[in-house]
Formats: sequence, C-alpha cells, structure tokens
Amino acid sequence: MIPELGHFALALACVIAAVQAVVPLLGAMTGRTGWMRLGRRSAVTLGGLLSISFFARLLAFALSDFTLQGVFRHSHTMDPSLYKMTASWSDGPGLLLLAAWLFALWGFAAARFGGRFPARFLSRALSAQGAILFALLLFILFAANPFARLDAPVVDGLGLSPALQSIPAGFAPALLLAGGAGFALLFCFALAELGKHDGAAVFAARLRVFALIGFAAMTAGVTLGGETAEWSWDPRRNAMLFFWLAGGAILQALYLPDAKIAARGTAAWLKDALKRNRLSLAGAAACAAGILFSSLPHKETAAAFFFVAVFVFLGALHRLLEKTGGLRRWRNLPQGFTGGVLLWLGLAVFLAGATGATCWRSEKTLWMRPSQHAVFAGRDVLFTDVTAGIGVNHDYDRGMFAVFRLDAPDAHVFALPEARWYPVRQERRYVTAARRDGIDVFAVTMGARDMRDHAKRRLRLSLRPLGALGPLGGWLMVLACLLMLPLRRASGKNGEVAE
Amino acid sequence: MTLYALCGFLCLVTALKIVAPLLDRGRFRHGAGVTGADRRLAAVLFCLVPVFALSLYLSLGRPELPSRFALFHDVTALMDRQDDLLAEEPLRVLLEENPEDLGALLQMAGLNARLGRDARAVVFYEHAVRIAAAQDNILLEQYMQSLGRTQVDAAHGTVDAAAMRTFDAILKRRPEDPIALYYAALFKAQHGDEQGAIADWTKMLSTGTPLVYWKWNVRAAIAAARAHLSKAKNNQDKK
Repeated sequence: MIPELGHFALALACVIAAVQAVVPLLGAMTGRTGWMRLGRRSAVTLGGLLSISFFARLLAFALSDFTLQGVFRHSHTMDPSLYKMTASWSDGPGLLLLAAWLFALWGFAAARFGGRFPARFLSRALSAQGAILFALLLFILFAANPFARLDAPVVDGLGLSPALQSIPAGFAPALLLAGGAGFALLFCFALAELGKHDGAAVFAARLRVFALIGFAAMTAGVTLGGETAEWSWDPRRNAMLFFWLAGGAILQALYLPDAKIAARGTAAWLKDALKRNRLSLAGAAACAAGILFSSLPHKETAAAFFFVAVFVFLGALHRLLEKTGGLRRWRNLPQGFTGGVLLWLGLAVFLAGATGATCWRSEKTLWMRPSQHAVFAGRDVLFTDVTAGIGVNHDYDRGMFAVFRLDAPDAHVFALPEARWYPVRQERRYVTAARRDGIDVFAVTMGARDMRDHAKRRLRLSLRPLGALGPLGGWLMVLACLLMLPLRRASGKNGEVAE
Repeated sequence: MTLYALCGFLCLVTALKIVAPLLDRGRFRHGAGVTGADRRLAAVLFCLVPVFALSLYLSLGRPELPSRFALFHDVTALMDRQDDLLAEEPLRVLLEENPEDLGALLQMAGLNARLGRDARAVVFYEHAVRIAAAQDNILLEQYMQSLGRTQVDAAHGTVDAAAMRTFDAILKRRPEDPIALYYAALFKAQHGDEQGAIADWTKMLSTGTPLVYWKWNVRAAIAAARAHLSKAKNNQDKK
C-alpha cells in the first residue's frame, strides 16, 4: 500500500504542477491576487506531495519491499541499512524522483520565504517552476516510473552495485542534484524577470541566498564525487563540474552592489553579467573539456587544458577585481567579505589539488607477497600481512602496508586496502587506501591474487602530489558559502509587496 | 480499500488547500473581493484535480498488488519456491530445443508438482512416461509411480480413474509394486470397499522386510480405515 500511496502522490503532484504552471501566470497577467496566491500555495503543496512520494520509495527500500522493480534490482536484505536508503536514488527513476523532490523543496522555500518578492514576479517564477516540474513529473510517470511493480513475488533482490557502496558515492548525487535544483530555480527567477522588469530592486539581493545554498550543495557534491573517483576526474561522475563552475560565475555576478543593479535595470544587468563573466564561462568550458580529455590516454592534453582553465579563471578574477576597484571595494559588498575571500581561496586550493592529483600523479603496478617491500616515489612500501574477514554483505582480504619516507624514515603512514567479494552481485571491488602524507596523498590498491602463487598480490601504488588540497579546497568553499549567507534581515517592510 | 480512502483524503486536502486562496475573503486587505471568476476557477479545480489525479494513477498504478516487506515475513517457504522459479526458465529453453529430453521433462514435472501446479506436472509426467516406454527405460515403473501420485494430487487426494489406469499399468509390469498396490487399495477404500482395502493392505504388510518405509503409511491407512468403519458401524447401531 505504501508504494501505491507514493505513486498516487506523484500523480497528484503532476496535476498540481500543471495548475501551478498556468494559474499564477494568468493571475500575474490579469492582476488577480487570488490566482497569484494560488501559485504560492500550490508550490507548498507540491513540496508536501513529492515528500510523501519520495519517502514512500525510501521506506520501500529501507524495509526491502521487493514488489517494487527498483528495490528488486538495486537492493538486497543483506545490504547495510544506509546503502539500502542511498540505493533508492541509485537508478534512473530514483534519481529523477530525487531531482523532482529537491526542485519542489526549492519551490517550497521560495513560496514560504519569498514574501518580499513582488507578487507578480514571484508568481511568474513559480509558474516557470511549475511548468518545468510538470514536464519532469510527466516524464517520470510515463517513461521512468519509480513505483513500477513486479507481478511475481521474489525472495530477495539483486543488491546494490559495490561501486556505489560508499558514503561519497551514495550522497554525492543527492548533493549535486540539490545544487542543480537550486540553480534551476534561479533560472525560473531569471525567466520571470526577463518577462517584466519589476523585480530589479530585490532580484539579486534575494537570490543570493538561493544561489549560495545551491552552490554550497553543488560544491559539496563535487568534492564528494572527487573522493569517489579518487581525484582522477572520472567524467561520468564529475560532469556536473561544468554546471558548478557556471554556477560560480552566476554567484559572482549576483555579488555586484545592489545599487548598481537597480540603477541599470535588471535586463541591462543580466546582459552585463553575461559579458562580465564570459571569461569565467570560457574557463568553465575549458575545464569541462579538460575533464573529458583526461579520460583519454593523452594526459598531456588534459594537463594543458587544465592549465588553460586555471589561467582563464585567474584572468576572470583579475577582471572582476579591476572592474570593482580592487580589494578595497570588496569591503563595500553587502555582506560576506570574509566568505568571499575564503571562496576564492578555496577555489585556488581546490584547483591546485585537482591539477596536482591529475597531472603530476605517478603510478606503479607490481606483484608483491607479504613481508616484501618496494621503493616507489621516494618511499619504501612494506607489505606486512593480509587478513581475511567478513563484512556486512561481503568477504574481504585486508592488506596491511607501512609506507616510510626515504628522506625521513621516522615519518610513516599505514594503509589498509581491501579486496572485497560481494557474493550477491558476484562482483569484486578493490577499495583503495588513500592516506595523506603531508599535502600529498599516497594510495595503495590491492588487486587480484596470482593464479599460481596465491600469496602474491597485484598492487597499484600511486602518489598524488597536492592531492590533500582538493577536498580541503572543496570544503573551504562550502564553509565560505555558509559564511556568506546573510544572517540579519535586510531593512524594509515585512510581508508581501503589495500589488 | 484503505489505499482508496487515503488517496481520497489526500485529494480532498490538496484540493481544499489550493482553492483556499481563491475563496479566502479575509486575506484580501487591498479592496479586491472574491469575484465570479475566482469562484468558477475554485469549482473547476476542486472537481478536476482529483479526477485527473485518479485517472492518471489508475492508468499507471497497481492498487491490487500488496506490499511485501522482506524484513517482516518468513522467507523460508518463498526461498524454496524461488529456486524452482529460477530453474523453470532454463528447463523451458531445454524443452524448446528438444521436446523429447527425458531429464528436462522429469525435472519440469517435479518442479511443477512442487509449485502446486499438479495438472501441468501430470502433462509433463505423461510425456516422460511415453518417451521412457518407447525407450524401454529401466526406470519406467518409477516414472509411472510419480505420474500416478501426481494424478492423485491433481484430483485433491482422490484416486480417480486416470490414476487407477496408471497403477494398473504398473501392476501389470510389476505385480508386487508396493506404491501401486497401496493406491489400488486406497481406490477401493475411497469407493466404499473398506474391508477389501484393509485386506489388501494387511496382505502387503506380510511381504518384504518390516522396516520398509512404506509400511508405516500402510499401517496408518489401515488404522484410519478401521476407525472409519467402526464409526460407521456405531452410527448404524444408533439408528
């Protein structure tokens, strides 16, 4: 019954989204206050309905309801509880439902806390959100139904892919989608503003909160995605990086002084923002191209693209500082000077870490037996032992490695990589042990046994110079966004702006 | 029913929530009252939102399928069934490739019998017995025993004419076959000749070693037949 209730809530949400797409827009065009207020009410209702739908599917995964196709394909009773829940958005339909839910929550926030927006402006924005949500829900219902059922009863599911059984891999998509949905709402506000220019005075100031939270979520998602891909910029996992960089450019544009935006008019400001950020957007494109190229064997091409991206970004930063009159003018920004500085610092640290880990990385693959040692990248790697054990839903062999620096033998780190066997999926997963060694990261992956000598293991040793800076920069940027959130209310009349 | 009640409640709450701003006179502080267009839109939305939502759901949803939370039910019986369900498809493919595959036929028949599909199991066993007879297979009598017992199961425990023909065929080939003798006696008992059945079963007990597995069943059958007879006799005495 619970999945069917979730399915019904999804169908009802689709109808409400259609109403939200049409009625508030008509209200804004004809000046009917009640019709415009209906937009806010329906956005709140949509948030509630999609919450019912999302949690119904989550509950089906948590309680292993194998009558649901998605649960059967991506869950198993032996899977750890946390991964049973993250499995609910591990497939296409689940991911789309999560995206719709997060987008509806952003709409809920805009309707609930957007009282200071002019009513016509907010109605047009919510109408655009309703239209996007209606199309998305229609697609979900007819092409990727998250509540598709199985006719025949089954005892157990096929289990979650081992590659997704880690906290970064589980939560990175959710955070990326949360950020993406936030920027989709910004797009709705931009659409509303481009139609009629009556929100100029509050447009940028109010949207900063949405942009900051969206950017923080997306940054956290990119950082976790980087952890999942071991900072090797797997384009399948980090394609969102392009949107993230574009989001950063939008955020930068939104931090122009309010007075300047109001004086020029919003349309002129938007045009100017696009021109102003052309270098940032070009940098974003170059980075995306670099990411795509990094999946090819031509590492030099990837490195070249990355350096181009770094310099273009520095150019964009320089241009911004030049236009705003240098660091002195940063103090005149409405709030978050410290956050702003920290954001750029985080970006620089992040780019340094990503560049070092990708371009200057060195790797070595070799066969070793316990008690043997090898010298690699100025370090002596001692393979001490292998122990076997049983995890929640897998068997594992855990290798024990001690890594000594040749120039400082007292400084050493331990690494415990695992070779796991998941019996339900009949798949192996080699969990890399990445250990910070100063600002570098030293990683050990323990692979398959030698067919003739079972004590011998295939190992991959890798050194990622500056690798520890990548996640540090990412989390610095998240912190910066939180610091930049306006903590005090802007002065002005409480409540909705009268029509 | 509970699902429909919850869906109806959700519809009602949602419809009331979204039409409320159209009819809420108290919230309009700037002079504008509730107009006819507002009322008409409220009425249309109140009627159409539930109708569209229910239509959409009923065209896609499966309200007849209940949930089965694996964490809360005993899976042992289902697991046995699961093995058979998983084995069915490869056997079906084997039989498509070679309908005379005796091994696949017997496995398919046994699988269907375990899944409770006795009528289908009988069809597979009949086919297997025909092929085994044509091959003069040394295990033919055993296959015929399985066929006869499945025929009895398909008739809900009654030894019907078809099953009796099978057991007669076994007795022609092997007159001392205990399974066929047992069911032949059971046929008599089920058709009113309980004394004859008891005599046949008693004769069976005198043959073979005393610890043969089927003798326990025969003793139980004799006890049941005797109890039935004495009950019938008591009823007659009372009358």
